[in-house]
Amino acid sequence: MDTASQIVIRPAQPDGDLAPLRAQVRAFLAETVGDRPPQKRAQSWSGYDPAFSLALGAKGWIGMTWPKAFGGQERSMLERYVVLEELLAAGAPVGGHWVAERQSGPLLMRYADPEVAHEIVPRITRGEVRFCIGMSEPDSGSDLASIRTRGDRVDGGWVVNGTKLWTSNAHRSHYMIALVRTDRSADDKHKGLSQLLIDMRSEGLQVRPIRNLAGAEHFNEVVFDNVFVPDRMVIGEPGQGWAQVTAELTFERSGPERYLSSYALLAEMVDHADADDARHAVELGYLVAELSNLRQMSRGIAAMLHRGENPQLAAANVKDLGALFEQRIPEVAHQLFGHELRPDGSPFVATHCHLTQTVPSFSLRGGTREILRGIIARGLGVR
Amino acid sequence: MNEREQELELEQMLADSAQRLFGNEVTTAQLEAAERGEWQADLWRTVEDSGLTRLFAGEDDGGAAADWQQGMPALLAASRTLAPIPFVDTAACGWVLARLGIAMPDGPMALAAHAGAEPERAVARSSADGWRLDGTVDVPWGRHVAHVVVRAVDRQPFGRAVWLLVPTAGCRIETGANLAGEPRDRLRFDDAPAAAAVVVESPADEAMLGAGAATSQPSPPSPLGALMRSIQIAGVLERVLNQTVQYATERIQFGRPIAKFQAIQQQLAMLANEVVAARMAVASACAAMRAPGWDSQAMVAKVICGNAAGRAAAIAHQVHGAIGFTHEHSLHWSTRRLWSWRAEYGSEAHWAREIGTRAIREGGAALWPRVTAPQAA
Repeated sequence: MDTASQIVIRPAQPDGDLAPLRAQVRAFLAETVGDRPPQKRAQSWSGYDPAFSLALGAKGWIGMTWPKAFGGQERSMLERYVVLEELLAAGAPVGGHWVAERQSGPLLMRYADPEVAHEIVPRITRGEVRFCIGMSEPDSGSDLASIRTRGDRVDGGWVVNGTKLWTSNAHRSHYMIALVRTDRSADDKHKGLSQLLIDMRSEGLQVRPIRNLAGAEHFNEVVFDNVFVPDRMVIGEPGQGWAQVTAELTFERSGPERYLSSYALLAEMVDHADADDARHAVELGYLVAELSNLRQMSRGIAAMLHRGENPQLAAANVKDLGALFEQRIPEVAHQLFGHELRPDGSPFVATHCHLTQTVPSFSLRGGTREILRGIIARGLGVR
Repeated sequence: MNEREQELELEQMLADSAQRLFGNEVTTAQLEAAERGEWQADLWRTVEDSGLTRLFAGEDDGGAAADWQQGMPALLAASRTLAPIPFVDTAACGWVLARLGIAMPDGPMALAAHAGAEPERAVARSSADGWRLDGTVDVPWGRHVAHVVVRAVDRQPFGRAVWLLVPTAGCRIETGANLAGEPRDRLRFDDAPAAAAVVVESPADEAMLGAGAATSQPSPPSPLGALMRSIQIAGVLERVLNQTVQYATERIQFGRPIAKFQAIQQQLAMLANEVVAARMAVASACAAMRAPGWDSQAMVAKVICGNAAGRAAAIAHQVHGAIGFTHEHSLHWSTRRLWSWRAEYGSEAHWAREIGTRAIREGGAALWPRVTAPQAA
């Protein structure tokens, strides 16, 4: 039994002709977000600035791999990867378009009514339209297939009732892609689920913000009270929601946002450390080595996807390793520097404060660590 | 067939032949005999006759002229089988010799490292009948190797780097062994004639050989050595993952295979994480070997593989339970190597300190450009 051979990531080729693109992106970022303080950079892909998303769209750097017919540039996955990692390393406020670019656009192009897709996807590439993902519910977190929000057939569409929870950016979004149960008679809970594209201005839809532990309002409860969704807004075939969602989740598994979320604090530590202090050098050396290797893994996965391979299992490994790395950074900062955590302290301390409170979510969002490891275990053939 | 496809074909061919060769040859009896100190002459001869030891030697020298990226799968495959011979060490010496333009001799070889402090250091002397070596060096498999490859300093003018290929015949040997029973010997050369030698004066050439990097230590570990042991660790980790998954699916407790328990599944997933990370680290390091500055990636590889070795060994033993703690069970042939190799040619902490010191000196703003540079890290 050669399990190990199934999780090999082949390294991506070095930058080569990507170097000019990287230089362009860096120049753009220096101009637009060069003076952003580290505690803002540390917001990473939760950072929100609609004007920045529009500017990025104008550069052609949102949905850049997509067909021109959808407003894309037909550039390669590796070119996209360069743009994404530069955005994140610079701590650019990409939250306005991140989910739409990563998940919603590809999903719509693949499964949505072509007319709907052609209407909406080009607006994603311009950075105009924001999406949220309606998956979790009050009683359905890791056990996603147990969701109860339901869509009932009516003339010309579906009527949705229920509640979605932990929906990031729902209060700022134009659309939600919601997973709902459209057939309650199915014997298997994975069957009878559908993905619906829901206009957030719909009648009967209410968004209630939920403050997180840091006092910020990023995620929400979304209540549906007889919300009508026309047939043309059903994404894919009714009943195929589970398969579509599973495929969608693999898009979000191994990108650079899975290891760069705490980068701002690492850079601050490197700036403030003492090269002659062996503890500083060793601990930061570990982190730099891991950063380098995670980047190679993540790029390798991007290159494999580019070649049409399906490194699903290794992508789950990379996500798990990436979250462990991101979560360790504020711990190392605590061990090496021992700051008292004053949110109004220096930029370094404020960054440390922010990430200390944020990192617990890194192994929850997009599926908990335990679920992820269960997926890995299944890939290893033991489940 | 384009150039890339030809490269991949060579890589696949070398890997297949290593897999076949070592997979069929290495037995537990050999491992036991090697650990008792017996040289596995038949195994060595079979491997050498196959030509695989000349992975990196030039075609005009009877070699495959592979680069490290092409050679890596073969080195991993050999390491996976725990072959108790200095195969990776010899192949790596072949790479050094090819760069120096020295023909690769037959027989096992290893890199020699300076032992101890200044008076003991390896010194080269040019004489009428060629170069000669004085000094004490540490050599893996020293009692068995036919030659050592050593970077010595020239006596006159003092300080120039001289790379020598020196036969071990006649040297004094103080034997030692690592935790896995692999020979780790100290060799004393007194006015020993070199088979060949090259003076390397340009810093760029020195850098390409992984020497001459700034360091605070009198005898810094070799980055090339770090890469060799990292590759071996990554290979053995693959074996450990396969073996541990297999065991978990076969061992029955509470009426079902222990692999059915979530606690075990989580452990196996973490073990797989380590294997993925280690393999990537050596793949990146091997890809970097084409250009100067490769030593940065070799350092990263040793940090990642060293950490992975410790964590993976712990998980593998935990999943195997008491049986894995016995001498009869084969797991220890892997784990004792992992524990030994992570400490050789610089521990993960040693290289982490090098990497960290440089990063701190360069500052936070320089970190991302360095990580994304073609010779990254």
